[in-house]
Amino acid sequence: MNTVRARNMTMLALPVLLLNGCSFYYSSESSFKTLVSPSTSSMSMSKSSGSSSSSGKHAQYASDVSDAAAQYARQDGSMDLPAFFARVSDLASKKGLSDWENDADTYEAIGKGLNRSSPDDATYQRLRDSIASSDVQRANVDKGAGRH
Amino acid sequence: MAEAGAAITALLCLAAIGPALGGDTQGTSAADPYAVSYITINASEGQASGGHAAMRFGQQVYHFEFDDSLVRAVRDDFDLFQSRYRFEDNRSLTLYPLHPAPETEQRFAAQLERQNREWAYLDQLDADVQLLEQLAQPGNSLSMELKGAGLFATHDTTLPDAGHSARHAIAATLARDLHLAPEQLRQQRAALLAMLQPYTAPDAGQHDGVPVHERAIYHVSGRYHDTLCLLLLLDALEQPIALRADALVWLPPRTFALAASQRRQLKTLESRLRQELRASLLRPLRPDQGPGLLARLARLHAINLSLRYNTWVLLNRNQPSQQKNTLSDATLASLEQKLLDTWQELAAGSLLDETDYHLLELDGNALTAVMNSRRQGVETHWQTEGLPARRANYTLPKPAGHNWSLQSEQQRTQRDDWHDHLTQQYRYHLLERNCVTEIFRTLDAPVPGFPFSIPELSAMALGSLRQQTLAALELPSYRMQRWSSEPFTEDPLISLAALLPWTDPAFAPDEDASSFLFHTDTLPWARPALGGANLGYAALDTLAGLGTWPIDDGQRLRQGAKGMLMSVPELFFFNIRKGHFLVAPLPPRLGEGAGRPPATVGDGNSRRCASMASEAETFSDCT
Repeated sequence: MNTVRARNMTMLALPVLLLNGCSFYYSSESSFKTLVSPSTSSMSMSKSSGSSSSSGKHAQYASDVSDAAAQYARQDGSMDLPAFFARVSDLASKKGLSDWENDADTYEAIGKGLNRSSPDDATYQRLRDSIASSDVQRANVDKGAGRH
Repeated sequence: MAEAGAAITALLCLAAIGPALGGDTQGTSAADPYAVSYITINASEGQASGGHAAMRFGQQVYHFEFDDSLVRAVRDDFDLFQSRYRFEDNRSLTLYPLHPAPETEQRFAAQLERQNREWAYLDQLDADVQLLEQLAQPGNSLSMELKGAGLFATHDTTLPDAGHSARHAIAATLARDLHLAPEQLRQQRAALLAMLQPYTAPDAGQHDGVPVHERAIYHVSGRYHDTLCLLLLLDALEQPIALRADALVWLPPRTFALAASQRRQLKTLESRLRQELRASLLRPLRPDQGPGLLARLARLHAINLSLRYNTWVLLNRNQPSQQKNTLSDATLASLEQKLLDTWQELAAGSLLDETDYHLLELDGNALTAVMNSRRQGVETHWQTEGLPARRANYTLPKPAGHNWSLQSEQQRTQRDDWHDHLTQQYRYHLLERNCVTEIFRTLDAPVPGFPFSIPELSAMALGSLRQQTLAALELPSYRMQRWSSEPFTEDPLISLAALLPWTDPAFAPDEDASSFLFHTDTLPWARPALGGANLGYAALDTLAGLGTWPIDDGQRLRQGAKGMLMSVPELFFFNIRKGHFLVAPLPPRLGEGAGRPPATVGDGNSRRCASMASEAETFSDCT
């Protein structure tokens, strides 16, 4: 603590030498963290950790998809469906999933997001049916939404 | 150098931080009294002469960085934040525990997300302008850079190489096994071409109260890109088109031969991925499916090659580099072993789905990158770009009959207006808008004026937010930490060596750094003397720089002049210059000991991959 105080006093004594800059932008999520996150996740999901379950692997992805679905539900009318699909496809691609329409977890995450925006049953079903085209997909959305 | 640094940090974390953190990468121990802290980072040459500030919430760190005259919100992982600032930049961190309002972290997160959306919107507008300008130009063809196009040996991207025929055979078999009639593919193509329609720019105003940048919009550039990916996919099936040699990494079969159980699992996965691809191609395609399905086809090629040659063949994510590797062989060897251990753990487990395969792909690429670095002595650039990696141009006839010029002009105006709006909103200001003021604003605290808007003094303005019962915690910089474990000794040579930059193999001078003779960060009492020596050395360098100006374009002169400037504060016991270090020891978790062995990285070289591919294609067919 004394070190901190002493340094602060030194700083006060030498304001003329200071240029009040901030660190340069070099560690944004896009250029820095995302470079790392897949690898750290891959390591943390090594078999020895015993956390290679489907839900564990998709934790961040599922959260992002849920957010997108919640936004879609909230902005019903101003967000078009192709934009929503493009958003989910982009998220899936970043997680290494080449075809999210065959991934049950993705539909569950969508259900969770739709439910978070708490639309009434009719709105929920309309939104769900616009996204999910098969019975299996709809069932997975319902499962995620907790509306069996 | 920055890219290399990012790659290095990435692999550093891959090899070391990941396992060290285990599964606890999200939260922070509830017992950590510094989990919610205001962080100040001391000053450094070239980065922040007044220091930097950040907010920590558990494992997340929010801060505002200077970016081309702007101040932008950023979020980093706390361990990576330490790696970057404490170890690579050799700067000490001081943590001041706070007790802010419960929703404060959400405010930081919301602000970051809003800014990201605003800037992403500008990027999208810019991409739209570029596309529309190309469409508006005379000519009959449209050429667009596609993610994933660089994976395939299309006639305009590559010439056939030694292994082409084998890969082409795989492509032909795969296209046949999908059982798609030519007519079905033709219908899909016609439907896709019809999607390349005229463009309506998004309404710049509010829609249902939602501003334009908050709306998710499938921009014309994205729609075109993704549709073209699907057209390339159809090309690859109809012709068929093989993968390029440098689109693949081949893990050496001696070490990575497929076990019987792995073959079974790969076959099962291949069958499922292929059937799902077929099902998708039988339904009406949506543009957004393009990049993913293209990646899936490429992965199917790679899996089939793995099965044929009985070794792991993966899509290549490594980028070639001509720069010499600066990392020691021992460091790379240590990293290679760690990656190998991880690979073996992953490969020994169940290959249940595509996500498992994706993890193998990432680790296999990282491992290949490090192996290549060791053997070739060049830096590597390992990337984890989203699928499909590797870009190349794809050309098709331009959709005709539209007034692209008008649309291009409209879109350019919209982009320029939005750019002006953002630069006005986020412009850096010495006193009123910097890394400190933005944190205080987000904390909903009074914004400090000068001199407390200087990062290193800003903690004094925290007032009631500060948790007074806990002292500030200083996390020492790389050199300070080393110094504390290897203090000034009685051996003058060893002591002198600790003050010289060149005796630390991790020291990484860059062309913008100032010239100096001694580190002065660890010995405050000796700074005036060492600073005097630095000043003299920099002055000599400046003189020499006048002579070398015609040769080095003034680089040495700039380094010398900057060295003199940076030496002056040292005469008054104040240190700004910290140095830059490429090999960083791992940041200790709070409450843990400081000593962990250093670890680092390298990355891949496509020429090596190509030669490995050729080599592997001479192996016997195992199918």
